[in-house]
Amino acid sequence: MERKTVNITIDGRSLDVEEGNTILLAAREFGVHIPTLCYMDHLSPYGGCRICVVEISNNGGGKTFIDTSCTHEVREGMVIQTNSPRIIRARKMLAELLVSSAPNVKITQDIAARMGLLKVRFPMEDNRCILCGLCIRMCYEQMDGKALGFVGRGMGRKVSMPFEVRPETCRLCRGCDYVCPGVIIPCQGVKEPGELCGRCVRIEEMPNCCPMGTFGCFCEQNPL
Amino acid sequence: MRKIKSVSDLEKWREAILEKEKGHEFIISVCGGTGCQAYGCQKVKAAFQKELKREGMKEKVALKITGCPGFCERGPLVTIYPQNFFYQRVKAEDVPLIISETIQHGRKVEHLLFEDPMDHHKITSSQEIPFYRTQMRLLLSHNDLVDPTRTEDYLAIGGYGSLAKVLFQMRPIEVIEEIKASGLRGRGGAGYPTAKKWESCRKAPGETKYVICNCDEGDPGAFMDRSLLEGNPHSILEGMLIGAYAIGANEGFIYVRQEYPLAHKNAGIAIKQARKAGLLGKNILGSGFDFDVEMAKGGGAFVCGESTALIASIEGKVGEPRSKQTHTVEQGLWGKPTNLNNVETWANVPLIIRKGSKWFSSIGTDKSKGTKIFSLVGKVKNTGLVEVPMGITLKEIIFNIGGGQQDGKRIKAVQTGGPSGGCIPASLFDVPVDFDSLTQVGSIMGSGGMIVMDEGTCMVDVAKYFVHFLQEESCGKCLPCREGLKRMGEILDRITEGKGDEESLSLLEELAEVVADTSLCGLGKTAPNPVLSALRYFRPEFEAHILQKRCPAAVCTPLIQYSISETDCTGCGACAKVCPTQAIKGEKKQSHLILVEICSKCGSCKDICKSNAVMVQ
Repeated sequence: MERKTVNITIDGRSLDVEEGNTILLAAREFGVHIPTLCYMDHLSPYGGCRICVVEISNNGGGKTFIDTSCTHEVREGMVIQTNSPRIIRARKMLAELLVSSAPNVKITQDIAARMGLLKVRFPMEDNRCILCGLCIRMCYEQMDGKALGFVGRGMGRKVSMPFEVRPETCRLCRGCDYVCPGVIIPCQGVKEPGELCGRCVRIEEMPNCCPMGTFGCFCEQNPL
Repeated sequence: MRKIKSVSDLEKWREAILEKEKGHEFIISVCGGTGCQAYGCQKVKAAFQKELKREGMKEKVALKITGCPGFCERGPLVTIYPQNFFYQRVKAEDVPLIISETIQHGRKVEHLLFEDPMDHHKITSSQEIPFYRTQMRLLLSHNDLVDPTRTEDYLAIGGYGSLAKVLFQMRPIEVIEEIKASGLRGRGGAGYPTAKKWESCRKAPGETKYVICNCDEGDPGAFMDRSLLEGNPHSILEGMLIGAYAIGANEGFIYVRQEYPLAHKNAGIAIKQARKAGLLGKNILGSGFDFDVEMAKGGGAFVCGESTALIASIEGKVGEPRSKQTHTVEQGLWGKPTNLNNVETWANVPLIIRKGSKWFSSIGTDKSKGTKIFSLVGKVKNTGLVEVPMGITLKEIIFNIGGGQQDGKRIKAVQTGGPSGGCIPASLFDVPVDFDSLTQVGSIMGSGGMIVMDEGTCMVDVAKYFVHFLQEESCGKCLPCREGLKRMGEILDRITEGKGDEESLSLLEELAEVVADTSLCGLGKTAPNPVLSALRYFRPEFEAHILQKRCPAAVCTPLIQYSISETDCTGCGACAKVCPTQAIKGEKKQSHLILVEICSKCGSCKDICKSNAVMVQ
């Protein structure tokens, strides 16, 4: 059966992509890199980290808006920019917010490094959870556990089990553990407070093809 | 309560009610709104009941507990009809006097009348009071005529007439065309054309459709929607009925936040009565159209005013927004096409149908039609609910209706649109109040909060207040809103503590723009508005905090110092008595001194000093 396609433009390239796909999937299919954090294949898109934002114009006109590529579906005639100055500025700031709140989570360092961030202007905190919600979606959608969820609002938001007690539906499958970016041992590169080593991005031949945007860190001190 | 099965039934009932009302020589309407309840209107009501019973006048005089007429500052409010005497700040002790003077002899009770603050003459009727004179009260005017718990009162002012007209004389498409011709735009804040929303919802595929009334008003200092739903719930129901008929929906919800118990109660009573009367349910007025409404109670989260979060909340999920590429008119409540409008939008609908789109579109400006209710609060003489035609200038609202500055301090700005809006400086007070003009100057119409600020308000402090409010109310789902607002709050905290540096402002600006650009829902997208508009118009104030470590409005405690003027101090010692930290020393009849190290900067000394000798710098 032939699939319906729509024509879109990503970063100036005209592409025919499958209807119903998200911008992120369409871009990845054609090798256009969009960094992601809370997105994972086979889990429903969440749109929480906003790292995958792109600039969209519905008809190619002058009026553009920003939305997350993981949730936005392609439409005929859409013109998308994945690395316009507005997007780069936004992503850089998001990476800075992220790494300052959880500097000891590897993925935040990776994303910060990838954005070329070398200095953080906010006071560093030491959160271990970045509230990406991967564990919750894994548990709910793939393992049918329904043992995890968000509780609290705003700054008090956290991942928890019902009434903070492990429910019977949790079979200790450790699917949550498996997807959690916070359990990966972070880069131990030398840092002054507020400084990021960023040594990994100074390597000239940093490839631009890593589909997950989590290209590893090459610091010697990195135990991984 | 009778069951109405046709339009003629409705008209007969209306005639019977009007006939019965003719029996009353007087109507005493006591405001039962939340503001007046706080002032003790229940006692006034009880006193009236007791007094009327004692005098044996229960047949002659009708006592009504009505909704809010808006002039909350002067409550409890009592209006006597047909003379139209407007009494303010009425106490239970005044009731016998009102009965003997006004009801029995037709005379005014002078000390309860409103006194013009300019020339001190007494004003008898509400229409002549400056606060009401400039207003155009299309929606609020019925609030003091209708007892919200009596369907009969709403019928007496022509209620449900528009519904009958729509059901029997208009096709759904014609209703939408009529609303389109009226130019009505959503009153919830964004100003989206109502008819366009209805049309898309009507066209959306699907059998089951819903309409929702959004009464999750959460802006600090705003109470327009609450007063409408508390005071005239049947008008909202009628609006929803008409909308549902136009869209093709058979079920509706009124979403009220938990903090509005009276609105919840009155709307609940109205729904029950309407069901009993056959105005809700199956085969309404014999037209074959079915519609019913349920109440939904919100937990009081600000973010639940956002349409997708509100829908999630009704569904029983956590009130969090979702990505909005597919609009709620296509996929809303339980995935079905859903039309969500604000209380005030629904209240406008019966009015447009009754009086015609031509009449409605003659009010207001080119692109914003009709009236808008604002809750005018802050540093003005008269505060309360004001309803004005679109296009009126801010100056007229603040100075003619609000009565201008309170106590010798010049008004410097007005904050419109609540936490999503911005601060407009006094130099722009000639801006007409409509959706587009307010957006142009960096604020928004919003749901209609209007907070007036004078020289004693520090704009950095205001920006800080709103950012902290939103930080508390953010659902925490998306990174820019959760972390970005927290960081903005931290930067503003540092500035008000005198620890800001020159980089602070550029970082704040950059952060604000990214938060606005990348946030998931309307809360985050508009959250930086108070900061950005304050930076746009009041940058010198921010710079004074950072460069000179000085708060020009003398609000930010870490940056101010209290001292006593030697020449003005009479040595009365009053300040030393109230000082909670014993920081004031001095001999009787000698000039006093504040010990800066101990001073907690509470300001009690300044408040109590009669000779104005305490200075703040």
